[in-house]
Amino acid sequence: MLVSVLGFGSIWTRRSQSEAGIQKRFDPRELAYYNTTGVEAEGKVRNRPRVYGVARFNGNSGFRPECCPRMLYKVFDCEPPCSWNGHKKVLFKTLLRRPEKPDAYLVVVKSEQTGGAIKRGYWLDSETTLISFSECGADQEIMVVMPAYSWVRGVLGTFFLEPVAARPWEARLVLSAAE
Amino acid sequence: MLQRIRCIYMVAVTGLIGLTSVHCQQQPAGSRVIGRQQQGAGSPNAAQPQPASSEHPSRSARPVPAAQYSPLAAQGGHRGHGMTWYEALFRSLNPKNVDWGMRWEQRRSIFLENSVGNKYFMYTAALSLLLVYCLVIIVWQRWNHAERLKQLAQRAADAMNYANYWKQGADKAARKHNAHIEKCNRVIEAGESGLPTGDAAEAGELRQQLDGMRIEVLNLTSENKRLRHDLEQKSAIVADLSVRVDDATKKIGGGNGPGNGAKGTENSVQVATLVDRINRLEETLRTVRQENERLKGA
Repeated sequence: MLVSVLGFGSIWTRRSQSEAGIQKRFDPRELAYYNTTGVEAEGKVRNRPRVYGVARFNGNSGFRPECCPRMLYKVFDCEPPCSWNGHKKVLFKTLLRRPEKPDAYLVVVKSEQTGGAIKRGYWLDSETTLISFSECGADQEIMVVMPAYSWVRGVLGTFFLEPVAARPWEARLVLSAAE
Repeated sequence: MLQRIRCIYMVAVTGLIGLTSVHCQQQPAGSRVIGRQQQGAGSPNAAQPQPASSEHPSRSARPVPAAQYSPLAAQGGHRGHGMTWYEALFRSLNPKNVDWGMRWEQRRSIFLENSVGNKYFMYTAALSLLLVYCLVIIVWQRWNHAERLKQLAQRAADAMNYANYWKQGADKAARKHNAHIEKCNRVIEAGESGLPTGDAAEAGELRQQLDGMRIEVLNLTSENKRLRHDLEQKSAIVADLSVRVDDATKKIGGGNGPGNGAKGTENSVQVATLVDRINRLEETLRTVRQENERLKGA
C-alpha cells in the first residue's frame, strides 16, 4: 500500500545492525529509524504511551533523517500496519521517486490541534489504524494511518482528512461543520 | 461608727444638761423671789390689792375671778413679783419648777446602767440581733432559691426546645441518608447483576443510541465525501472523453469525402463503438449521481 507522510512523531530512535548483534560492516543503508509519539513531561519529551507503536523507516528506503521536513508529503511503499511483538508497527519500505495518489496517510495529531481526543466511545474512524498514542495530563500526541476522508473526533469537533484535489498526496485535517 | 454616734450623743446630752443647769441656776433666784412672794402671800395679799386697785380700778373691782383660774394672777401677776417676761414664760412652761435636767440625768444614768452597763441586756440584744440576722438570711436564701429554681426552669425549657429541634434535624438527616444509601444499594445491586434499572438504564441506552447514531453519521459523511471526490474525478474523465469524442467526430466528418468507402465504413464502426462507450459512461455517471443524491438525502 502507498502511504503519504503528513507528519512525524516527537521521538526518534535509530537501530543499526551492530546494535542488533549482527556483525557487519557499517552501512547507513542498513540502519532503521523508528518514529513514535511523545509528550513533554518534567522538561523532557517522554513516550508516556497509552498505545505503543512505531513507524519504521528503513535506511535503504530513501528516507533521509537529516532532512525530515523534506520527507513530508512524500509517498512511500509500505507494508500494511500490523501488530508485532505486542505493539503496532508500520514499515515504510521504499520512497517513491514520483508521488502518486496514496492509499492512506501517516498523520500525527496533537492535542493543540483537536483540543484533545475524546477518551470515551468511538473517537476514530473504523478504517483508521492507531499506531501510537501518548498522553501526559492534557497533552496528547496520536499517530495514525488513515485513508482519505476518514475522521478523528476531538474536543473541538470531528476532523476529516481531506486530500488536496490537485496534489492527492497532500492532505489536511478539516474540522467538520456537521457537529 | 457606733463609737462616733455614741460620742455625738454624749455631746448632745451634755449640751442639754448644760443648758438645763444654766436654766436651773437662773431659776432659783426667781424661785426664791417667788418663794418670798409665796411666803408673804398670806399676809401682804390683803394689803397689796390696794395699790393695784388704785392703778387699775376696773380690775380691783373684781379681784376674785382672776385668782380662780391662775395662781399667778391670784398672787397678783408678774408685775407684782418683779419678774422678767422670759422668767414668766419659763414659769408658765414649768409651773411646778421641776428640775428636768436632774431628772433627765437620773433617767439617763438608770438607762445606761440597765442597758450598756448590763451584761444580760447586751446578751439579749446580741441574741435578738442574731435572730433578726438569721431571719433575714433565711428569707434571702429562700428568695434566692426560688429565683434559681425559676432560672433553672427557664434553662431546662430552653434545653428541651433545643433538644427537640436537633432531634428533628437528626431525623431529617437520617431519613436523607437512608434514602441515599437505599439508592446506592440499588445501584450496587444493578452493577452486580449487570442490569441497570430505572432512569439510569434508559439514559445509558439512549446515550449508546446517540453515540451509535453519531458514529453512523460520521461514517456516512466520510463516505459521502469520498464519493463526491470520486464523482468529481469521473466527471473530469467524462468531460475529457467528451472532448476527445468531439474531436474524433470532427475528424471523421472531415474525412468522409468521395472515394473513401472502405475507410468510411471503418470509421463508422469506430464511431459506433465510441458512442456506445459514451453511453455506458453516461449511464455510470447517472448511477453515481443517484447514489450520491441518495447519500446526501440520508
